[in-house]
Amino acid sequence: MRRDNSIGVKILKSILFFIAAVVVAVIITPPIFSLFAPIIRALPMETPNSFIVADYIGMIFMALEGLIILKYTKKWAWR
Amino acid sequence: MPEDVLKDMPKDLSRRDMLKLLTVVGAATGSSSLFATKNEERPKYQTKAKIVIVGGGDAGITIASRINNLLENPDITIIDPNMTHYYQPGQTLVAGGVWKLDDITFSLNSVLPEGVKLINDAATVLDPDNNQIKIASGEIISYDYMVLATGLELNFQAIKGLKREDLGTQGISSIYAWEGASKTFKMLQNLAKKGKNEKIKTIFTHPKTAIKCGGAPKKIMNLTEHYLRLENARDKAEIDFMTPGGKYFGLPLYNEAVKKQFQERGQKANFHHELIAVDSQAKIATFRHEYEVQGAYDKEEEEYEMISKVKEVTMEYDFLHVTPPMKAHDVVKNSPLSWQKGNNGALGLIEVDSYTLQHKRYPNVFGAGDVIGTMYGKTGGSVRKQAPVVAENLVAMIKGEDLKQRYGGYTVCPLITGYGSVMLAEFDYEGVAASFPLDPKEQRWLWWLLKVYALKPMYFHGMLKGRM
Repeated sequence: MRRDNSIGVKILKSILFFIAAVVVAVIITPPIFSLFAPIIRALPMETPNSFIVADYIGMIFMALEGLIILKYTKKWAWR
Repeated sequence: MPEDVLKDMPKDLSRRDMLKLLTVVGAATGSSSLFATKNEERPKYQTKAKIVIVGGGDAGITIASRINNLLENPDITIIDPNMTHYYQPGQTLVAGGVWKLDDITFSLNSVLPEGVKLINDAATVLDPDNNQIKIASGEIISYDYMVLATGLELNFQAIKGLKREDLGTQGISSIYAWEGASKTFKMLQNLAKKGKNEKIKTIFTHPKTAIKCGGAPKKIMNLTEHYLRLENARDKAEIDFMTPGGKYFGLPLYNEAVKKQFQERGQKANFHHELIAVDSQAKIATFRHEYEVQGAYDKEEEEYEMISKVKEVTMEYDFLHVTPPMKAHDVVKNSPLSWQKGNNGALGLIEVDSYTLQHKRYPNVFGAGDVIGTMYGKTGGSVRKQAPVVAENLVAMIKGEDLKQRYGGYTVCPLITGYGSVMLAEFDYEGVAASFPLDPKEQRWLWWLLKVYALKPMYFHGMLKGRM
């Protein structure tokens, strides 16, 4: 029968998982940005609209990363 | 040249930077000098003191909000002749086509703190000996405590042949005037069209006087350079920066970084050049150039004597960005509150203690914003730090307590180095004052995000409300 961990263990596991996930995000995000940002910024739009589009895509991407990390921290570490 | 520049443009977000940033983001947002100012909940003090704030810009509004937070039903009056409040840090972005003029234009009433009275008129005489202010209608306003936050006046007419009305015509631009900022982007578009086929000359000036947001002349120059590059018009463009000073930036750390940026972008800095005249019809700018020549050899000193000389230099231009000389409004300059000597006296800046922001000769008068004669402190970020100091010290004075709050000279200049990149230059009286454990000389996309997407909400919902 599965037994729940104490709150202290849950917090510790979640923090460690969160840090590990952030490290992964830190590793994968810059190459993704450096690959796609110039492509987006070169879209045939009037200057500087392509930069604004790239800004929004970048911010949405980082927000999604944050949400994914939180979701999986809760799902896999908070137990 | 452009391809070299592209290689040297800032990294979007390096792995190391992101790790550092994420590691500190919690602490940074909670405690850094960039964001935090003390505003804890305390019981409000009751007083019948009449507080008058002259100037309804960011300093006046923020101080009113701060005092509102500290006093129970305070009697605060703001005197300002303008009913429009411009978000001035956004004027560079309007000029660069990132924002529209509407994005920075607000009614003064919409940002006025609750309970604060507004006199929509200009102060014409400041009489601190009798604690009175005369306004344009002739009415006399009395006060117990006064805060001066009148900002600076753009003195375009100090340049021979130039009028504010010229902005947007004959290739003359200035982001310091809201109407100039709104016309600049169209001018850049026309300039780029011309630059695709023929040589173009662009000039960006810096005056001899103290100015608000000292980085702005470089910001618009960098945006122009980047815009021309993106529009394939950079190869035929010459970019000259003309300054009466002898440095790229006051602090050595940032000076080196900005010097490198100039070199990377092929922008030429012409030191010791002050714009003195403009012939808008002929598109010729005249500069006063100070220089030194080697004189006779001095045997006693064992060195050559250096002789200072002055000459006038004329330059043709296709695009001239003028940063006008600035000074205090005459009502301040002609009052006993201004400095009585030196450069600050010549500009009419008010004589406050650099730390308490209390007037040195009239203790019931405080000052904040661009009009104070302190070493640093002429940016919106400075005001965010000055406002709580003025409010707390003023209330301490009402209570009869010692003035404990100190302004450390904090100033932040998000120096736009192109579309998508900003160098966050922060400093105070003691030197570099970076809020984050990241290299402050680096240009980063993150600081661009801060400048374009975060600072404005912080300004309206945090600073002007007295919350941060």
